[in-house]
Amino acid sequence: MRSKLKRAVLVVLAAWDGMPMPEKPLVSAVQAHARPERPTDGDVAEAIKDCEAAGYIQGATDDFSQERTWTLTDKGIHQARKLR
Amino acid sequence: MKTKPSKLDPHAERLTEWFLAGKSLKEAQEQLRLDGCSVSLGRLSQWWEAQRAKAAEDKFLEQITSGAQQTKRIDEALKENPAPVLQQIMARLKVLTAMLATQATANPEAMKQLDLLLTHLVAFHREEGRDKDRALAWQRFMRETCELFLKWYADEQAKAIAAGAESNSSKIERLGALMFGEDWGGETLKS
Repeated sequence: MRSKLKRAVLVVLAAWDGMPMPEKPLVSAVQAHARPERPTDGDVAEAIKDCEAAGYIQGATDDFSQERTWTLTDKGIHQARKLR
Repeated sequence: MKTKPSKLDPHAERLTEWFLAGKSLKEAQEQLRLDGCSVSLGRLSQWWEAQRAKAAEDKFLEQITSGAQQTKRIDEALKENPAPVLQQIMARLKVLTAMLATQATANPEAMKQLDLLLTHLVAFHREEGRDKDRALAWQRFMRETCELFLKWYADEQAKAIAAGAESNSSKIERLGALMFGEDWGGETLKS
């Protein structure tokens, strides 16, 4: 399940065309991708953390809106291409 | 979703056609056997399941990419330095677009409404820009007129024209020609 969710994080961000993706839509996209399984927000948050730790993705928080967004790193782009 | 190469791949188009037309696994297996490709029912079922999962993923990811393109349009509209309140609206619109694009079930009508909203906002932003340009042009015109007045205030010829006994329209013509030279369009405007 965990590796399936990590894969989903990467392919969803790749489909988002290189732009920073707000965290909430990323979580809902990963959950939708994982259907019929029903991962919790916590499961997806763990998968996101794993991807960040592996250097596949990086997060940034907007100073004004406090909104967190995620993008693929070069390593993540390479990995996402391999997955597709 | 990456699928392992299979001996069924060369038959993918026909198999898809058969299954979508309602053929059973057994019927497809028999047809394949007649074509010289023998495969177990379990393997055929697994292959079809993987194909369906891949098609569903492709569709879902296309929907996400379409949302990304919509978001790029919003960014494009934001390039012209909009008012802070408009920036806030656009930021919310971007999140909403992302939320819609990542739903398990596509909602084309909601996307269409969002697209319309964006079109109206961009139009509003452009109109606002034109109003600002007009206000700026008026400010520049007033400033330049004052500068010209100061420049010609001390001019003897201008003083003589202003103090003359002619009609006001005649004075304006002569002062205009004196101040603006060839740029003065008084005669053209009159005709």
